[in-house]
Amino acid sequence: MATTVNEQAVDVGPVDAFPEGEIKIVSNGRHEVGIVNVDGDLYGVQNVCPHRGAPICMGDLRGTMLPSKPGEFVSGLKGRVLHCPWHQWEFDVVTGESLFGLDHRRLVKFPVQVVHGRVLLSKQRVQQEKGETP
Amino acid sequence: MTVQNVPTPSAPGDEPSAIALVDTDTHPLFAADWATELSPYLTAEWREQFRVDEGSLKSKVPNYWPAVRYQLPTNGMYPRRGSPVRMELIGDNGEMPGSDSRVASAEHLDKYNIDRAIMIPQSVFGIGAFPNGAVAAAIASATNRWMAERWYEEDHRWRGALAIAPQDPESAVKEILYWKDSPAFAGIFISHGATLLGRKEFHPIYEVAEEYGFALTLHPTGAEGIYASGPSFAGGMPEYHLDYRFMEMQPYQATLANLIAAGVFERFPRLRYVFTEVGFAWLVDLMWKMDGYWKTAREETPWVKRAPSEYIKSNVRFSSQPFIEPDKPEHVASLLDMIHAETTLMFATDYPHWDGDEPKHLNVKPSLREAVLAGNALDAYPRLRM
Repeated sequence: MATTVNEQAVDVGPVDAFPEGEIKIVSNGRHEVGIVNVDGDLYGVQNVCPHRGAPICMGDLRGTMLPSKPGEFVSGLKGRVLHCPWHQWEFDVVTGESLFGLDHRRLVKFPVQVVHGRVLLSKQRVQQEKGETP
Repeated sequence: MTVQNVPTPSAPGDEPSAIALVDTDTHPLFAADWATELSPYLTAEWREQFRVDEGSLKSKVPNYWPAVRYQLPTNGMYPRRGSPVRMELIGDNGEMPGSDSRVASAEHLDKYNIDRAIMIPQSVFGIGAFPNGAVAAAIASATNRWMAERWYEEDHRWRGALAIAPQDPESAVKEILYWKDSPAFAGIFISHGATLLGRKEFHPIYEVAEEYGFALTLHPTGAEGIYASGPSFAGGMPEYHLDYRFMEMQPYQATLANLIAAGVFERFPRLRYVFTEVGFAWLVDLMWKMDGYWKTAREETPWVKRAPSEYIKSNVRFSSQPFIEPDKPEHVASLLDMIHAETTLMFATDYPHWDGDEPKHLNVKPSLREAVLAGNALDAYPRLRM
């Protein structure tokens, strides 16, 4: 259960509750947010796909095929690509951007901090950038 | 597009600035049956193989043994009652329009001030569905000599789409290389067979086409759906001429989707693919649908690096005839906007066919006219400037 730390952030649990390669959906009191562990770094992603509003944090977290020469496959971005459960749009959790120019829309993200082994999730989203769904 | 290894213009009046109207779909027709017409352009061996000079059977019972000579794949199953050519152009002695370049130059090029006309050799339309690739290649090669000598040499405004045998890519490449320095040919007519054209077996053709600035030119062949060696119709055989005409575009839609999915325009970024007389209004659906699915299914084909509609805009062109006639003419402008006609659409008459368009039928806004009448064709067929 999330605990309000102050006006800006909530405590969503101990850091070891968010293992690498997994997404855990929590609340910051205002929004459902998926805490995504990519290579030991935590990211907060609003559980809403900027495409059609699907619960994107319930999709696949894995890598993807990188743009390549015809007939060749090059896999990459392992563990940092969120594949939406509805239309399989791919977003890079780290940058928030859709991959390879697929679309201009971006994930809505909330800052995450680890303080004394506790995960603190901001109530304020990362400043909106061009292309984000408000 | 930059053309490499092509000679400089040689004929008077052929300077690029003079090209203001390009007709991207015309059809030179054989005046006689194909073997007779092509006889001077065949090797002795092929004349023998094709029984060109054998009169004995024919003199005994004329037309009784049609099966002793190869029949080119054609459509004899969905006839339309009415002349296939414009009847007012038939000569006093029954001469077929489009069968004599001097007559055609006067009644078509001069009349409409056409600076360049792409010839798509209708008389051999079906060779891509011919099972024997060597036969198809021999006929293609002779047809090209015929087009060069009987049309281009008579009037440099006539420029050919080179006939090839796509079922024999090795011979096709040889044929293209033979003509690479000749201004007589601006495109390569690829008669669609049973295989979608994005597949690797066709890539050697695309490699030389790109290098020497030839556009690949598609046109319905009449072999669609009728021959197992030709392209298939979706769902089954059409029943009447009316549904056949509607379905004729299907293999070309399928091959366009395959070209993009197979990454042909990634592999050959300077290649131009021209879709002639298969419509263009359907592009809206194809572009939107392919772009949508690309966002959802990109991983299987990661070499499709841009939205599919982007490849269409940069590498694919469509002829305007038969031009659309919606109930509300004002819908044309919206449709042309949606298909990016400023880069994709090229004017065509389909001379000498009954369902042709004249330049005045081109219902496009003034700002599009230059691109549609000449600019897009010169981008697709840079060899027209030779």
